[in-house]
Amino acid sequence: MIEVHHISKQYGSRLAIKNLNFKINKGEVVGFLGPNGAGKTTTMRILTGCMAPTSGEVYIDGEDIFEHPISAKNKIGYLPETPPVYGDMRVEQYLHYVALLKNSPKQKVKTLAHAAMEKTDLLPSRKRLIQNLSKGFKQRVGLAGALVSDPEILILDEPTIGLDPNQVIEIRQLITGLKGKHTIILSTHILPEVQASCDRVLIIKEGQMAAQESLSSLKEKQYQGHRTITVRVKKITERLPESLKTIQGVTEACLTASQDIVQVSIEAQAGPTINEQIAKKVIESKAGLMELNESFSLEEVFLQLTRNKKS
Amino acid sequence: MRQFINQWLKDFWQIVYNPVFFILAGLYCAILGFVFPRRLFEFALVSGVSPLSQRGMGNNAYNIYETVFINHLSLSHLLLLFIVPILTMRLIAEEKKLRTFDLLMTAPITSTKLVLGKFTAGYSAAILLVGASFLFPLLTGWIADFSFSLLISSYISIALLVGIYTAIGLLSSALTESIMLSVFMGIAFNVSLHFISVGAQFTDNNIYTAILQYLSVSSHLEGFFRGNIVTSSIIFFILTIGFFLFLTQRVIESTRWRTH
Repeated sequence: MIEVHHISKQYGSRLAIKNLNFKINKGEVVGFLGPNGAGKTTTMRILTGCMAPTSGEVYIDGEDIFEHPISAKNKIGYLPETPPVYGDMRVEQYLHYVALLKNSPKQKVKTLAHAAMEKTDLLPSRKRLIQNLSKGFKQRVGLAGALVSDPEILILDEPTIGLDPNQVIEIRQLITGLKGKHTIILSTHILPEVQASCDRVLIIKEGQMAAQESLSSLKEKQYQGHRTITVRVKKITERLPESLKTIQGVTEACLTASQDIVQVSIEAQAGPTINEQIAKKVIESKAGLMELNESFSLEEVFLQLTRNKKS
Repeated sequence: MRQFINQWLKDFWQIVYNPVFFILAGLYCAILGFVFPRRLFEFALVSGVSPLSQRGMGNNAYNIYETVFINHLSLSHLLLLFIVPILTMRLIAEEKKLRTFDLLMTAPITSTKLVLGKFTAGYSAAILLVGASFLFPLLTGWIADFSFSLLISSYISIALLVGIYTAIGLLSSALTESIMLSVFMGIAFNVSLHFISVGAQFTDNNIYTAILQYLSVSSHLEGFFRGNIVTSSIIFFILTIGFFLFLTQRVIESTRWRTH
């Protein structure tokens, strides 16, 4: 659906993105990750045809976005970091305008606007002036604008930035709800967001691709590095951390502030039976095993990957 | 066409449904409304007759045009020179500032349609003001008898000139994100249009003199004010509008240019 071939973008003497190459298949939800200033927004703007790369090509459904911009852009809905909304317009009026701007048939405009408001839960606010809406609602209006022409591709640049936790959850649920209906690129530096909604991640660092993999293969990558297991017990015993350290492969075992949780650090090479061995030790110590959890943290993978690149 | 009309209506609505437009239109009408009756009564006093008694006096028709209407047109034109850049300031500069420009750049609309839609919106709003100014001589027609042909030819020139001001305003708006800078640039460009012929004084070359005089807006206006609708002047106005719109389109398109 989206093919990016060797794109680079230079601002004066600074190279913002260097030789990016990736492909996104139809129906995929892809997280575009990277720290601030990594080149995410520049890439998004190039993908949407808003800005030309210094070199390289972008194909949207087989069409070069710079050679055939109109037909390629017909397939894209874009929500930039700042939602492109007009404060002096009402929600419904804005969506009618955007639908017509995106070349939707006139007789379908009302239906499309209604559907977009329904998806983004904006129907109760349809007659409100956009300038009077909260930031979260403005973000929803922006998302409704991206959705209104029912595009095949949705490109969302930092859709939850600056929102309160409730609004973040609402927007995240909304994006999850769009899964399967659209090909989605979600650009963010908030890792749990990607973990919650994406199938695959592209990690960009200093304008270069650091990784492009599915979440499951990243999980495997994490197991090749440093791992942490959290053990929750009923009653902590002084000997427990020490006895856990005796297991081969355990490098560190320490109590956390809550006093009923022990964090166990494991060597990368430790085998899959290590969880079983830890559980056995805890039961033997009669501490009362309540929970044993080895969570997958994309954040750690991200840090690992960027660290690896540095070295 | 649908996208062009959509853009035109949206921008026209945003210009007109705004306190700035109401304030400007109010001030414009107030100034014209203050000056026009005074000129009219001064004319009546000087000519020794009341405007009411001019009905049927064909010979005085030219006088009222020279003493009242030309002044009214000049004042109206002077005010529009400053007002039009204020009307057009938001058209692109504010879109860039508020980041709504991204919506336009990522929409399947050509930059030509976009520029034409925005120009027509600004021009329609400016023409509303020209129309308001035309009401003064039009209403005078109820109490005085004069030929409308000179007035119509003059108003055609004002309408064409306002087209140039709108195109210049749009270009200024495209060149910056600051609406204030856009206004200042627009006014500066508008004023400079009237002083191009001054350059002719500094050259002995006949070709340059002829070119500079042709490029001077004032020389084209004079013909219209005398009642001569000259084809070359109409072409001049249309070409100038087209030139500035072309530059605006290029400025917008330049964001999508590759830089090597």
